[in-house]
Amino acid sequence: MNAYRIVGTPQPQIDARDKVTGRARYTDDIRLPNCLHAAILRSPHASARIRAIDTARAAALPGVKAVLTGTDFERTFGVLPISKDEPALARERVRYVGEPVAAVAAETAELAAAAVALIAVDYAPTPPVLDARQALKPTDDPLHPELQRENNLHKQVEQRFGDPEAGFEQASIVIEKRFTFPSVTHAFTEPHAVQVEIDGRGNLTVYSATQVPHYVHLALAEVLGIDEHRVRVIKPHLGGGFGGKSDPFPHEMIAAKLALVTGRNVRLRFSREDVFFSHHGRHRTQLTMKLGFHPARGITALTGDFLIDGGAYGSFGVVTTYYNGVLLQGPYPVPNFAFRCRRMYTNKPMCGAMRGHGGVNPRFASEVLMDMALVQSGLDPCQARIDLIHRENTLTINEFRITSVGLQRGLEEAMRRSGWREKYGKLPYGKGIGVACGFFISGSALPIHWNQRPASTVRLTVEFDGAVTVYSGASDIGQGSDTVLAMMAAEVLGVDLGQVKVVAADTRLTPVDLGSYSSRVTFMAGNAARNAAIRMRRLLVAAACRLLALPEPGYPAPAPPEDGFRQGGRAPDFDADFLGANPDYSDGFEFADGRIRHLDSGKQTGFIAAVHAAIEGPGILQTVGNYRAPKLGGSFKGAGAGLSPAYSFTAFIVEVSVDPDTGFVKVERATCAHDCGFALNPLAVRGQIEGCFHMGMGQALMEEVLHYDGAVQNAGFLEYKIPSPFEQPEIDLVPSISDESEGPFGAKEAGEGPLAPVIPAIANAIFDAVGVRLFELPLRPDRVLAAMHKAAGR
Amino acid sequence: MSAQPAHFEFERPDSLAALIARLAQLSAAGHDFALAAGATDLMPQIKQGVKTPALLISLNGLPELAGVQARADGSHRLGALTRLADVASDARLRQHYPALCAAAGRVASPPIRQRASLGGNLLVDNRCIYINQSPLNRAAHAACFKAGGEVCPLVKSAVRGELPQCQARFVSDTAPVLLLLDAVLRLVSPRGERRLPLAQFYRDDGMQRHVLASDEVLVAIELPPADGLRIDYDKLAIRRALDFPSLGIALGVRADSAGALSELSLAMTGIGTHPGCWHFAAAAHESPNALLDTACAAARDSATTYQQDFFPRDYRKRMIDVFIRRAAQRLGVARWM
Ligand SMILES: Cc1cc2nc3c(=O)[nH]c(=O)nc-3n(C[C@H](O)[C@H](O)[C@H](O)COP(=O)(O)OP(=O)(O)OC[C@H]3O[C@@H](n4cnc5c(N)ncnc54)[C@H](O)[C@@H]3O)c2cc1C
Ligand code: SF4
Repeated sequence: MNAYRIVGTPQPQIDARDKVTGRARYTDDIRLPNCLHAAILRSPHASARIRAIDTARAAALPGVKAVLTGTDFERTFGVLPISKDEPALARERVRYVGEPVAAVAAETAELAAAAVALIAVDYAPTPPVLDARQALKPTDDPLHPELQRENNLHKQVEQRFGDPEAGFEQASIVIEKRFTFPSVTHAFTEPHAVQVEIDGRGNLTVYSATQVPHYVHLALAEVLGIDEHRVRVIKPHLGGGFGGKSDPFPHEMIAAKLALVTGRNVRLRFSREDVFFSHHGRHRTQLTMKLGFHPARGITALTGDFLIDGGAYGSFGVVTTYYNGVLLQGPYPVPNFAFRCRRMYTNKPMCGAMRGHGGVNPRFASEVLMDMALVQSGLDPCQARIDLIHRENTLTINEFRITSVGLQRGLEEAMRRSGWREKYGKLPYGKGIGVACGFFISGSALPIHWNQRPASTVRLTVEFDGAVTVYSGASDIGQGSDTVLAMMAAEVLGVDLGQVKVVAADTRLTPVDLGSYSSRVTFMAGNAARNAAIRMRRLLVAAACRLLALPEPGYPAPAPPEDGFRQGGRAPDFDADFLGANPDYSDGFEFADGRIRHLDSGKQTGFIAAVHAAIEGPGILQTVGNYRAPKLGGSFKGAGAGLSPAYSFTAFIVEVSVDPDTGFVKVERATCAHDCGFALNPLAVRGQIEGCFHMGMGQALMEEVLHYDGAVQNAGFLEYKIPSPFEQPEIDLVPSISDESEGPFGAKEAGEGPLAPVIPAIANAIFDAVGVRLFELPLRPDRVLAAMHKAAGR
Repeated sequence: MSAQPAHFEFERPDSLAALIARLAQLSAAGHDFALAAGATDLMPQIKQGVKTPALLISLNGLPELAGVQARADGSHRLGALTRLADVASDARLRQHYPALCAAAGRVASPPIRQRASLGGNLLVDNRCIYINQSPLNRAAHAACFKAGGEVCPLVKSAVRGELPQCQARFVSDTAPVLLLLDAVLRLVSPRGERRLPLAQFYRDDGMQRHVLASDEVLVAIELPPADGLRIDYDKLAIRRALDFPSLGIALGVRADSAGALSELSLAMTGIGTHPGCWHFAAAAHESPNALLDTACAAARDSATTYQQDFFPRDYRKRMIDVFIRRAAQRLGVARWM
């Protein structure tokens, strides 16, 4: 039973109508007056020295206003302060096919493209490094000599907890396998685009299709060498990101620089192939994983050695390097654990964050190994997983604080609803059912740039007309964050959802939110919005009390939840500005139907009357709410990676048919138990889970970025195979299943976690169907068939 | 090298006579033009810079190329401009040539089939992963033969001028069925009109793919009565929508007046430079099973596959047998066994 009026009810996204009727304005829809068009010249070489660039002919073309090359930018950049290794335009050398080398601003797009074609670059090609293994080899000419390494290693992480060797000794089953994963890409609908408006004082307003306006703001100021206050970044409507828009990008730097140089507005848009060159997708991964299992003890040890192909630059790669290992600390306890992950630079488009960041490929490996161990032990793979999942309020061996866990109940329900017991091991040859679980962060507890500021701050106003406006820096990238923030404000203030307006992702108008990545927005911006609304509620209660001649209720001082564990067992980190995470806001009043009613006396006043009374003094009604993650984690090196105030848990049960003659795998149906705490907007949760399934199924069965001599060979949606709607099965969703006391209204993430288990669930179902295990993605028909033939001794 | 916006002139004649006059003029002047029906094959290639016509002549204003006509003898004339969506749903065609409707319904996706024409489908360009590419990808390597260069990265031993010079593969979904139906093409050029059986239309080369002259227009496709010929078409593609056939098999069976299996026919797309087409008389075989073996062997032996598609070459070849036998099963060949 839902105790609330708005949260917990399925709500279409507040901009859904605008999007489906074409009213929504995406970056490229904006028409700035007197705007120049920019075009980028990209490298046709995977690896080459730039001997010279002759821009004279391009610059001489009438209508061309500016030509830029690498020497026009002094600083390199990168989303992580520890790897600012990317130039806006290549200098001295190019490192991948598609790397921006020069850029032009001209009066028309045609002129800009024609001018770019007139730029003559004298390249001296050098042998490219196209594979992570090759990148391990010593070389005199690494991609990034500034790191002073003898090979092309970007980042190496090694962690060790407990005693893995002893753990393997305790196991009754030890399995070790090698797995291979190609790179896959986000395939969002809207290609990257940017528009830059410059005013008479040289201030830049940058409209960009970005998940991280705040980081773009900082990077622009730094790369352009201008004061931060001269930059304003606005994210208009955005057509999907999935991590592919969570970095500052060269094209943003280029467009802004062109605006500065010409004093004119500038626009720049990507074609689909540009998007493939820019990539930032999931790392190509080769990994070896070893699992020790004992039926009575569960997992006794887990070790992994990961080699990930990062492409030409750093992007989020350092985080990816950690996440490959640390996200294996769930969903089951792993008492003895060690991993090594090496991220290599290669001459290919760079990899970065992609939905399920860093955790997806290792999850495939661990859930396939787990399945093998359970099958070998004669255990039911579903029931055994239920028995093994983390209990609530535990600490993992690497000191992740696990709070709420609803997956045991959820998976039990999924098991029942899918008919698991009647099907597992009992379906005819060619039909199978499989299960896999996953685990993901609900917001990275640490900021990328170390500072003491809140992770998210929301400003909230109520105007004379009753309009409630939520000002948040959070980026709605299609996931529905604007809607969920509006829902929470409407819930707390007892107003209609339509009365709440959202002003978001504008670095001049909205307080800082770090961005849409690491599944942090609902949890962090949500808590901030909820707190701002609670503070507003208190102002209105005070005004209502004056109108109704009632004494003001007293509010408890912010205090940690009773269970000390919920704050990581440390001193509470509340202060006067922070109401805490998900505080109770009951105050003896009911806000509903445009009225504010005192519950004890029954006295009531209109919402608008209270607004007018409250606004009399200050002239404006404005509150601020924020969110700070609790202090978490251990003190060892790299302890910060993967820390989150809460974790989501997911299980998928998938049924497949495998065609014994062709090896084709058809996913027939899926059942999902996703522990997102309290589902604030069940419709959006369903959307996320269906999207995760679609994306996971694509990676499982068909998606793969191909290269030929380092050039992307399938840079379009005909040859890069995203499943069509025909391939998408019905998904039965088991309702939400835990109460996360620190999440807003009890919520956790739902946008990324559900992806990872999709892939091993499909693989495990294939095993149930035809008795073969595959260790390389995608699980293409030819691979499935070859494995079946091999198993049959053919 | 971001994609360059394409530049071309555009014309849309409103009668076949006007078009033919214009073609006479253009070819005399050696002008570089392209005819466009639905342009669903042409336009992506222009956008990728694979084709760079200076003039695009739309066929969409020509009444002579439109419509499906049924004749009293059970034969049909399909205007070359008939959209695939209309082919797939036309009640008369569904009655007489259900496999053609099915094959048309398997091309690309519903929105593309609204524009794509049947004529265009017979003329769809051969594809290769090295040529149907973004301009930047092609700029990253030496141009191949089909792109006007001197190498073939797919078949490294290929020699300029020696046919088949290019192994770009044939991909039309409707051609195999139309071959089994003994389709005849009506072609009109400034030199007059000719009728050519589809079986004589294609050539063994991924570049010079057929015998249509550059100033020749495909006006209609004529189909004789189906006469007890039953056909099954299925294609190998990783997705139910969008994908070109990695292999397509059309299998036909014909019974004699006594109801006995008299002929098995087979056509193949997706592999090779042109569609393979075979006819096998049942009488020459001791059993329908032996007949199928012969058919499989013929198709398999003719097929040289290359790594130029989503599926590996061996797999595509292996699927030939599987697809033939499954089609035979659906057609009920077993009941003669
Ligand atoms: C995403 C995508 C997926 C596709 N999938 C498939 C598929 O699965 N199977 C498949 O077979 N095709 C597929 N196609 C290719 C194409 O859509 C079809 O082959 C379609 O039928 C082509 O018809 P059209 O009318 O659009 O041809 P157009 O593009 O107009 O023409 C194709 C060629 O034929 C010439 N031409 C056309 N009509 C005439 C005429 N009457 N006389 C002389 N010359 C003519 C043109 O000059 C051009 O060279 C796909 C295309 C896309 C973009
Ligand atoms: S087969 Fe043809 S299209 Fe393919 S690479 Fe060779 S010449 Fe080019």
